[in-house]
Amino acid sequence: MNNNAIIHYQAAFAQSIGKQRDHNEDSIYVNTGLSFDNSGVKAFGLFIVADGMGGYVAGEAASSAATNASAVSLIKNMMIPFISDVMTDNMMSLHEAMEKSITDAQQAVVNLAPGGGTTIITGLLLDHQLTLAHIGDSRAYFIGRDGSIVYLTKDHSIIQKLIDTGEISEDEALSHPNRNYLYKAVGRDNSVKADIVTHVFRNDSRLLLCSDGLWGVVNENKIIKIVSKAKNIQIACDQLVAEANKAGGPDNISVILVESREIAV
Amino acid sequence: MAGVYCARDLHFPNTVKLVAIKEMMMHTDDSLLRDSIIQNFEREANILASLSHPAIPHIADYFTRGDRSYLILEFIQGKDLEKIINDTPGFIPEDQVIKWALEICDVLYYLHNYHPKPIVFRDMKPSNVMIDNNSHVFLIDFGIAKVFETGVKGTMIGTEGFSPPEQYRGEATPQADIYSLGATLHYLLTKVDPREEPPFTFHERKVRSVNQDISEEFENIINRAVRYKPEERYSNILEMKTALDRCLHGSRPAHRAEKSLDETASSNDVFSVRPVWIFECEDEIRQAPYYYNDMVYVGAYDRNLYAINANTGKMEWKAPTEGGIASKPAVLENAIYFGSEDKKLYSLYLKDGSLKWAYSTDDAIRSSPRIYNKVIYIGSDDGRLHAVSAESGHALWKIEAAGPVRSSVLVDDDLLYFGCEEGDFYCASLSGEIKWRNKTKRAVTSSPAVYQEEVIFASLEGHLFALDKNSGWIIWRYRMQKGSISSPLVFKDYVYVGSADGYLYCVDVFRPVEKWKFKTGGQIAGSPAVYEENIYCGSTDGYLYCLDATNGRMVWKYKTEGPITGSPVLFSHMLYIGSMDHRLYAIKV
Repeated sequence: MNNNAIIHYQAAFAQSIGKQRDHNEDSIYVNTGLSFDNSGVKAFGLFIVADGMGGYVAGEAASSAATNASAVSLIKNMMIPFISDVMTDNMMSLHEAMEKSITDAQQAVVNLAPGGGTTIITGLLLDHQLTLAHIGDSRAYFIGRDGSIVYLTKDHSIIQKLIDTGEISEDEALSHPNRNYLYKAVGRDNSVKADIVTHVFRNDSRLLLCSDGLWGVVNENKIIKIVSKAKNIQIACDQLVAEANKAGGPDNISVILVESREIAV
Repeated sequence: MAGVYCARDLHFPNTVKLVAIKEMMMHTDDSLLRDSIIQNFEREANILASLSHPAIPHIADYFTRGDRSYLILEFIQGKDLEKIINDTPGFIPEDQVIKWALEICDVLYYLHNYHPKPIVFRDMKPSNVMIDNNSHVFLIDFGIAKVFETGVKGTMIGTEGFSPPEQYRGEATPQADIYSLGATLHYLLTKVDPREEPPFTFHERKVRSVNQDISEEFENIINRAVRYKPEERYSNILEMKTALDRCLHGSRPAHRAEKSLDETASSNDVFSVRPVWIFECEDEIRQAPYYYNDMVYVGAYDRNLYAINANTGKMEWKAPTEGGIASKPAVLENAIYFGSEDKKLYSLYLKDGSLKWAYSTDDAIRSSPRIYNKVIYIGSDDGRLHAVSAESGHALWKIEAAGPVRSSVLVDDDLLYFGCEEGDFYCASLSGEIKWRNKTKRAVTSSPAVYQEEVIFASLEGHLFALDKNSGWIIWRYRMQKGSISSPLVFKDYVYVGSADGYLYCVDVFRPVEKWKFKTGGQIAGSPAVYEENIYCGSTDGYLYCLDATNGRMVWKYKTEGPITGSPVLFSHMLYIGSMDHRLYAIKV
């Protein structure tokens, strides 16, 4: 980056009920920003995809309750201090703030959507640090401009575990009766602990967050191809959703793509 | 969706008879589904009523009102194992855990051999095992609540982390309970919650890599119970009980912990580690030596800097200062640089130790010099970081810190990182301008390490911190049992750091999750070193430890005659370390 340029994050998203469901149980949250202070320009972003479960009302209520509660929690505990640039000796670490956002999401689901459950994948970008928290089988990927793909999360699904241990094959997994079986979900247990990890978000890649409505039906090569060929990330999001629907659209589809942009000033 | 109440039975007005009332709620408006839930509930309640075992609470009554069903059970005064794990400081002793395990085996044996049909408990986990005030076991929650959970994506059978793989295929055999008991015992002994680990990974997380006080025999029993394939586990609960019984009463060798630290003289023979040479000076060696060009340079509290031939252990020269040396030297071109408690930073010619220049600060120097672009960066107890020209010994600039600087500077990407004794941690430019600072609650004596975009250091407040190196924001922090002045080492995506609590910790560099920890008999003040997949560190118990980096298992240990506070240095299959017994050891690795 040259000295006269500032980095900021640009995000795009797309969503669809799919072809076989009559209601949408997915929720998303997208927020990017910039702040200026003495030490320079700071870019930030917060992105969430949640895939609810538990039937008509509960699933929808669970995913939106979890999404909103964790967004509010992170804005309060991380983004406001980040923008106001206040560092105190009892400040939360990024990982602690992420943990808190999941606890808050859990509480919100128990209160607002009893009986419901939801997956959640949250990406918090502060400068170039991407911190992810996830529970369930919604996923995050880095898609490089060179056509590479890095899968950043590991599903909390039994099927994934059974594949990993060689108990069943990838093909068998497609028709396995417990295909949708998650061993972790927000709202389904008294305490739930997310996988939290921090990565460096490099200029040469894009961040993709999505529900299983996308990755369950569109394979990685196709995803890479669409993202690399599309004129911009909004078109890429729309094409990804269209591709999932073309493949039958068996589930709700949610997609968020994020890239960093350099702006000359 | 269930709650438990403690209630008093008013049928007995003249005495206080307590009962437990378990309340379960239905979340469906579908009347057919409701009826089937109630039927299942009543069937389970009847099974429970027919059981008679001292470890199963007696059921007094059950009924359904509206959308809620109730079970009235014997009230158990005590704590469940989950709470015991959380309330116990340190680890629960092996013998105690085995005693509970034996009682659990008894009740599972009763259930598995129940007529007309064996009963599989299906949900063995610490929170379902109560320990009463006489230390006896009760199994609570017979999975009866499960009939209230209806087909939802993600609904679990059993409890994540404690359930065996086959349970997810809908199979429930006694082998499932054996697995879950093994998982429960693993959690009791390690305090590592399996719900927070990937499922079916016990074989990657052996009990003794976390808790070294456990006997190998007990670890083996647990390993067998949690095997992935049911047919590789114990064939029945009685077989597991017999093994546990033998472990408790049999002629097993003393625990490792009991024998580990007092066997001083013999331990060096056991591991047959022999120094190639030992160099003796006149006072303690508290810091690490420096290896350069077949020579080892080390400062001692006898105020001298020694230059020793790395092959022979013979001294080539020594140079006096006016204070103890607690600074690890560094070499640039033809000179060596180090600080002394006489307040000075010294530069000596390598060939004979003659003085090139000496630079004065206003207080003792206990930090080690770092050299970058011909500039020496060193902290002093005078509360400043000094940047000194290597050539002339003149100050280029000084940064005023909030307290004495004993932490040694890290230079990365043209930025300097260091801590101070008031708990402040700084990032400064090469021209001495502070870019950011972060405040921890206690002194940061530890010297930072950097990995990708993180800067990592320990604090006396008992945390290992990972900060964003550009902004100083805390990415994560990992809690140790006591404060630490040890400098972290990063190797293959893991951070290795010691602490005053005696542990050497191995923590994931991307998240505050411990991979393993190893307990020494003293405090670890120095920084660990890595060489060919092994981690080396000294402890104030006098031992130098060699551990397997992947699992923390001890490969060997070597006893010196005094506490070790410095760090080892390794080069070409040789390890050099100083001890407070006044000696510098050279050991072949």
